[in-house]
Order: sequence, then C-alpha cells, then structure tokens
Amino acid sequence: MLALFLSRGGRRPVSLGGPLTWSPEAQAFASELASLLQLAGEDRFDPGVSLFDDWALDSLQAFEMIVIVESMAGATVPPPVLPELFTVGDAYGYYRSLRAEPPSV
Amino acid sequence: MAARKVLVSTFGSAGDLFPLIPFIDRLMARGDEVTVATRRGLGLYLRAHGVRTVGLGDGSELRVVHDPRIFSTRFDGWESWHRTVDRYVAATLEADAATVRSVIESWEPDAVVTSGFATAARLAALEAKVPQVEVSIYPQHVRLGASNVRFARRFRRVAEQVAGRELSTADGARVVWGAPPDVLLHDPVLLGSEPSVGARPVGFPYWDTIPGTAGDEGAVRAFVSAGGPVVFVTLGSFIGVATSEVWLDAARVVAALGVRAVFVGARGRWADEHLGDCRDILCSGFVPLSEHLPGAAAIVHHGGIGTTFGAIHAGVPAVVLAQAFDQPFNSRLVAAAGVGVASSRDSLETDLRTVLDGRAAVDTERVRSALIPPSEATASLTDLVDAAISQKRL
Repeated sequence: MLALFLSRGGRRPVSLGGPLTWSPEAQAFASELASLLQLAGEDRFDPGVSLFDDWALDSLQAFEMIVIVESMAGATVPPPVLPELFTVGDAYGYYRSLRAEPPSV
Repeated sequence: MAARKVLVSTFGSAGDLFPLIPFIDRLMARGDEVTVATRRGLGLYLRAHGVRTVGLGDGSELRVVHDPRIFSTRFDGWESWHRTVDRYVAATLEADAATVRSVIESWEPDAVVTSGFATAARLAALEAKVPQVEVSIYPQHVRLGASNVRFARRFRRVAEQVAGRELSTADGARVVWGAPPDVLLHDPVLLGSEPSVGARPVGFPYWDTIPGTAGDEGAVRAFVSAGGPVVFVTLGSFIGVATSEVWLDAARVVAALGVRAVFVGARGRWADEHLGDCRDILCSGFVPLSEHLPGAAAIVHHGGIGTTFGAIHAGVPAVVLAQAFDQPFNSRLVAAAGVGVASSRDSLETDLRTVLDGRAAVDTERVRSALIPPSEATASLTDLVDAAISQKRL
C-alpha cells in the first residue's frame, strides 16, 4: 500500500545517519528488524542488503518497516519528511539519526 | 484572524483520517498551525501530505490487519469495535494519554479536534480544559444502545485509571465513544430517515488525492481504457490484508461473469501467488478512486464510509460486502438510498450480475446531485471549530 512512499521518483536513498560502521549494535538492530518484520529464516544483515530485492519486502511490510524503525528509536514525533529506505544500512542509519536527534513538536 | 494552534487526533483507519484532511488543509492554508496525534501507520499518510504528526500506539496496532477476530459483522459490526478498543486502544491508552498531555502542555493548542478512537486525546483535553470538538463519521455512535452503554461503562473504568479520577457518565461516553459528537460528517441524502441519527450531518468531505505510484496509476489507466466494462474491487485501507478469501471470491465471480476487474489494494506476495495468473484482473496498489473510478461499470467494496462516498461521487453503482465495524450499517444505507446493493459472499455473483445488467434499483445520479459538496462540509466543520475556540466551548 505505502510502497509509494518508498518508490516515488525512483531516487536512491540519501544517507540519513552519516557513514555507517557495521557494529555489533547494527547487526543486532538488523536482526531485530527482521524478526519484527517476521522474516523467518532471514540471515542476511549486512548494510548493503536490499530491503526489496534481498529481504523481498512487499509494500505492506515496507510500510510496517518505517513504523517499526521509528518505534524502535522511541521517536514519538517522527520527522515530517518520510525517509527513503532501500537497504538495511539505510534503515539503521535512519534509526541512528532518530536516536541522536529526536524531533519534537 | 490570529493564527491558531489546533491539535487533531484520530485513532482508526484511513476512513477515519481522510475526511479530516481537507479540514487540516484549510486550517494550514489560512496560517493556522496543525499537529495530528494519530497511530503511527496513519501518520505516514499525513507526513507524505506535509502535515506534522505525533505518533500514538507502539506500532503493535499494525497487527490489527492480521487479526481475523477483528473482522466481524456480529452485532452489526459492534463486535469489531469492542475488540479494537479492548486490544489496541486500551493497551496503549496510558502511554498515549501521556504523549498527548505532553504535547498539550508544551505546544498549548487553542483547540483539540478528535474523531474515531482518539480516547487518549479526549482524556488529555478534558484534563487540560482545552476546547474540544468531537467529529464523528459514525451516525450509530450518536445514540448508544444498551450493550454499548455497558461496554462504555467498562472501558470508562480503564479511562478513569489513566485519568486518576472518576469520570461522570457524560464525560465517560464522550471519552470512550466520542458521544455525542459535535459534528457529524455524513450526508442527509444517504442517511435518509435512519432512526439512530440525532446530530445534524454537515456533509462528508470525501478526500483521496494522495497519489498512487506512477506504475499503478498508469497500469490502471491503460487497463480501464482498453475497452469493455470494468469492475473495481476494493476492501479499503487494511481490511483487504486479512480477508484474502474475499479477494478469491471476487476473482471467481468476475471470471464467471466474464468482466475485467481492477483489484485495488490486492498487492504483495499473496496477490502475486493467488491472482497473478488471472488475465482479466489487474492488481494494483492504492489509486485514488476519484481519478480512476468514473466510467467503471460497478464497484464491489467493503462498505467503508470513504469508499461508499467515493463510489457515489463517481456515479458508480456499488455491491457492498460488509466485513466489520460500520460496514453493515453503511451497506444498508447504500441499498436504502438506491446507490447499490447490500451483498454477501453467497450472493455476490447474483448481485453483481443484477447491477451490471441494469436490473438493480439503482440511481446514483439522483443521490450524487443531492450530496452536500465536500467543500461545504469542510467549511461547516471549520466554522464549528472556530466557534469552539471563540467561546471556549460549544
């Protein structure tokens, strides 16, 4: 349904959290995200893994993913602009940016 | 007029949110500030539309689309509401009320506008004594039946725990069901002589101008223009996720009748696997009905209030397969007003055939021409909110 937010314009994602170090925390984030998305058996958690080609998210899962990442980051006030997330690394960068600088009303 | 701050809150589906968007647009266009407190999933629509949001719920409400027990027409759909409130509203009410309370304290809105299951915002507004305007799209909530009064009493206790004090009977009904509403977003021509209606309906601000993906829009346009009658099938913003057997029923029926069909909202892996081989069915993501539905031969839908009005505005007869919530009620309105047929899974083929053959007693044009224009409905709602702010109470 809301894959439109993710695919509009076909743009490549901007990096939301600066250069990423794929730390154990990042690995744990990716594993938790896959679990919350109920991707049983998924074991590819590298930053370059494509959410759509590799994890094969459908449009509803793409919609869920944004909500899950924002919930994981504890962002009560989400950013006004929707993120463009294409890879596991993008999702982690977005999570990290929310944690570092929570938006407020 | 000085710029105002308006906190809008709704907790439900796209059907609850979309009719508020023209109102939000109107406020923002005249310079007011608007923040919308809503469940996170609904917030995505608003953020795509450039509206600031505050997230309610913990994301677990997303599971509602996979919860088959929510989808029930028992007790005229009230069972769905009771379960929604029990499992998904009450579960996060304390945290949500704290969130809204904090927004009210820090942002100091001039008014709080609530609809649907915005219980947390109603509670917070009541505590903070901020003018609150209750907007409803549910005429059946205006006068509660005995079982719903009992339910409201039980849920009131939950609300009282969160508030930390007792609520009066009137405050309880207001907090739990938003009853009685100040504004009923519905249309007299559709409501007719519906006996449960007590509030004055100001019209329904139908809105669906969120764009679909370019691929879906183009594919639907090409499919429709390829010739021959086309039936649209949609189950709304989230019901379609859980009710896969309804999609399969609809696929069998359109094949039996030999018509082509667009299944709006039947997307993803499930649709690819089960409907991918159906040559005469195009599965698409969300596309605005106002853009694509006019000219269709019929629409099969779930009876959500937005889709119901979308079909009337498009002048397309409806075959309604109610699944839950207000949909059984809406399907009766559709049939009584003569804009479609209240159907069931067993009678879908017969009902759709009757509509396509022109044998159903349907006159969409008569009803469409009598509808209160959406812009008037939005203006009435805005006037009532302005009055509430001016008077500090309605």
